[in-house]
Amino acid sequence: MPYNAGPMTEAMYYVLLALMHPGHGYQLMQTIEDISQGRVKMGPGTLYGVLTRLQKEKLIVIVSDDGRRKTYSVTDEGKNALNAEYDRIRAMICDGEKIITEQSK
Amino acid sequence: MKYDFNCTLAKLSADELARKIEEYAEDGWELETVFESGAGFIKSVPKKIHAYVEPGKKPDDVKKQLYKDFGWDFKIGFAFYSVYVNTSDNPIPVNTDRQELAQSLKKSAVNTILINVIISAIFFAITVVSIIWAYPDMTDLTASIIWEQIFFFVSYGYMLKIMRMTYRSAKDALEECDMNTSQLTVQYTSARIFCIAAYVVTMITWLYSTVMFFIIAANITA
Repeated sequence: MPYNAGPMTEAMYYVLLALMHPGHGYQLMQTIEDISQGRVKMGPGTLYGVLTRLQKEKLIVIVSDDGRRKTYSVTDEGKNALNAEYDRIRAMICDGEKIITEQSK
Repeated sequence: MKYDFNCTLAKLSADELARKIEEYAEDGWELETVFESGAGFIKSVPKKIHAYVEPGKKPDDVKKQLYKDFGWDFKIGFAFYSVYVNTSDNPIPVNTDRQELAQSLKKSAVNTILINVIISAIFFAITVVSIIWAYPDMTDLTASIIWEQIFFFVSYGYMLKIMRMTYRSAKDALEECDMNTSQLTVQYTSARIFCIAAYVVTMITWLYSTVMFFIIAANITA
């Protein structure tokens, strides 16, 4: 079933982006910080909550588990959800640009 | 070994409790145990720490490791709360996204309250069944039922305390969260109503248990 829970939170979006390459919790935080050039810092509580929810919604899966650390990867459904969110954000930016450019003329 | 027990901490919300733990650490008291009725500290060296009290069930090893990777060491778990401590100067906060925090708090509050309501319902059913079936005319009451009522009285009282803490934590967190979307506002309004309803149910059950205790006690002594 495709993801239809509405717009993603910023945390969800960045975790899915980071999981295009499999990784575990702390690695994800570092990847997210790199992707966002230090703008987004994610704490363990936020990360744990997002990972649990994404897993429940089948947008990510566990690819390895050594009992202390779980490594996750994005599913096809997760990739589709991420693409849909990317398109939505892009459309928002286009809409914003039209108005903002008009006003600045 | 010096030991300090502070029973006023039970009245605090999760965030207030975390601030108290930090204050105690700065004064040289290290958290050793937390009950639903207070917290115990042992004498230690003064140090600056960051504390975080999280509502919800006790964390599993994966969650503990994840928090530890960020510098947040699991210190102690009690009732429906867990305490984490971070000794670094400028740690990454546990929660960095308010929308996500709001969602996890709602889930934790609803789960905790559901468990309490189910337990209350079971106790209530046992009391009613034992009164109706075992003592239909209330003339043949034995001491065993008074013990049953004492047990319920204590259990309901304990649950009431937990419910109060859960409600306060959920309420504080909901007030702190920015309600960016109408979906979240609806979720949280319903969560708050549910918290209040469950609290009232538990309180009524506790009062019922108390009244029953005195009725049965009076009946036996008469």
